[in-house]
Amino acid sequence: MNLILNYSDGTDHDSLLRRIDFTNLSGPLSVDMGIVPFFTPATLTILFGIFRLHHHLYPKEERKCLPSSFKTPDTDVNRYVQRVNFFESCPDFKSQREESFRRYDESGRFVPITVINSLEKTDEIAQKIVKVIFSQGRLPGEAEVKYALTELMDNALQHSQSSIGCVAQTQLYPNNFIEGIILDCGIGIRKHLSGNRAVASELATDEKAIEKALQPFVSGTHNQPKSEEKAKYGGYHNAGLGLSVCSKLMSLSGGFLQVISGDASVKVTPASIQKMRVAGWPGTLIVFRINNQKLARIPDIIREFDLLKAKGDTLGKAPQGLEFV
Amino acid sequence: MFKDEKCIGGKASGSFFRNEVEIKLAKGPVLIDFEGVDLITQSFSDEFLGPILAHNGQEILRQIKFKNCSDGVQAAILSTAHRFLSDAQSISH
Repeated sequence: MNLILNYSDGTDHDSLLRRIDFTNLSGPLSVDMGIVPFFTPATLTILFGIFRLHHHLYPKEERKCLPSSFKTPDTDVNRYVQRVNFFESCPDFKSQREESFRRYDESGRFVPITVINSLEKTDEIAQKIVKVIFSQGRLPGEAEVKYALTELMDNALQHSQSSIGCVAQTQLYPNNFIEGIILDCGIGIRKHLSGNRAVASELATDEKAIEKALQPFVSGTHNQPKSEEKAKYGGYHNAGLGLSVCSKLMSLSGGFLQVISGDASVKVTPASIQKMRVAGWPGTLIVFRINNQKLARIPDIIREFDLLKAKGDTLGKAPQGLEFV
Repeated sequence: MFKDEKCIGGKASGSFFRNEVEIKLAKGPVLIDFEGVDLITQSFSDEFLGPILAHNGQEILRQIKFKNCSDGVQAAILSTAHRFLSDAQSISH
């Protein structure tokens, strides 16, 4: 695959995903950033994920082709790519590049691209990420952003069977919003949900599968027979609330949550649900934006969803014996 | 118990915490203090408390007390309790 990024084609992640079918990665992977003056963290993380997947599919010793290449102009773009540890964390480029700038403390600025391979690490890594973003201690939203990161990373690692683990990147912007991306290169949402008998007949397209996944309780293990649940999830339980709570949290703040899987993208915004066809993503990709000056209350969102399942006389009541002191 | 973290998350963290609680429960009542915690994720709550309720039923709640719970912690725990107990049996209020 030979990918040349031109500024006129747009370099945001939506433009990239509309144009390029990332499910077809045969041959060498070559990316030329051309003279692109700026691109978003989501775009860079997508390219990072693709290089990792390509490396996994075609290890160097088995390649009968030229090694992968990634050309960037010698500008701020190149320095930004290095600062977020793109080359350091990408197996194809590790130790190939020399840094021609001085590294400053990253606190409050940007978070390096992070690869997560184990469910045991999600809480620790999410905590590290929010400590960088909220290092100055004055911004609200630390708990909410960590909540979202942990739930989305848990989902990716538990459900996707991704060969590269999951990849996360988060960026704080000066006008009170935080943008994040969590991606995996796994089986995708449609295939994952197809194992759930309660919804299997409603998954005709990737778009319908994403819409289902955004509904509360759909992917919960409560819908599965116990033996199937254990075999599939290795003992971990799943309420099926993580993605729904995050989606509501982001959109109520004035931000958005976008889910891309297979050939579909569904973006939940405050005003609408926007659907778009993409060329193809081999797994699941979540991009979110939250306005930390207009945070919604997560307990209110959870109570709202619980009402959907509650039986009349249980509303708002604690089960007998449950005591908060 | 949870230091310097406004949010506790992670299925694996919940599973690890459940093991700690179960060891203590075998010896007697347990007090879980969430001081300083604003939120726990639903995954953490389900993984920590859900299996305890599913295996022991509602009676086990008499052996566990939750201290210094913020609204966010209470909402997650209540959600877990309702779902896991309604799966296992009918709930008494």
